[in-house]
Amino acid sequence: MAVNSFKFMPRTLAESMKVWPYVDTSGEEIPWTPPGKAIQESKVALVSSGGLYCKDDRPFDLDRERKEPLWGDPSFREIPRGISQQDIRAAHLHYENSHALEDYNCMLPLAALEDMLAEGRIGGMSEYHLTFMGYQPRLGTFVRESAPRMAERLMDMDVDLVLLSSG
Amino acid sequence: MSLTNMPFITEKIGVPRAVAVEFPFGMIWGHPGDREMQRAIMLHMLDAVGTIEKPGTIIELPYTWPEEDVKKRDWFPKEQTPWMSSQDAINEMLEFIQHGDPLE
Repeated sequence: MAVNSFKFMPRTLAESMKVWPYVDTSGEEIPWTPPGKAIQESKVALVSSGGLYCKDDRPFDLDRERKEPLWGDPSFREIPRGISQQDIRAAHLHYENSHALEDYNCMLPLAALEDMLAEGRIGGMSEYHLTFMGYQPRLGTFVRESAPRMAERLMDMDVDLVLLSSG
Repeated sequence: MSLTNMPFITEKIGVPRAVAVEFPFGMIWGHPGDREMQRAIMLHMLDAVGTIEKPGTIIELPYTWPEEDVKKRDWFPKEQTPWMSSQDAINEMLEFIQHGDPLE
């Protein structure tokens, strides 16, 4: 792989990521769902692991992570389509939040998605988009509880296609 | 359809479809205010949904962070990351890395 974002990390973090105990999927078939519709007819939602939330919503729990550094808040939040910049907050201790607080589109590009809809490149846009806080060393609760609930919520909104981006 | 800046990890965990950019954490869709980059990445992703046929495919996009911005190192959080904030926390993390169960 030519893309090497390790260069953006402090050495301790980069070295730890190289030997991290990732969930071993080597013996499993990679999940695969063919697109059910043409992209131009598909309703699209964004999902981001960047820890964004609405100012009136509950922040991701960073205080507990400060006390228990191997714990990450496994819950998720909803961001409504058309939310204004001043109504966005960020709670994530593993990247500098100020850029997203200047323009949340650098983590959750709702404006570009609106462009795609206006230009007829997609068929629809979800009324809500999902966010979670991506620091999850122990993934159990996230995998067993949050992820299925997020998938269910997206299906309830008749979403055909999700664009998922990391923090 | 996923956007990653860490294809090293994306490959390991078996993500069905992804595009990759060499961008720092916290700005994976580009600089704040750079709508053109956000649009360009999204167009690549929408296109890749239709073109990727093999599970596990990662398409590397030709976008890198400008060298003058790499020097800024402005993506580091101002607050010390909790697991690096004390020797005890680092030791706990090292123990997890060596012997931990990620699905715990």
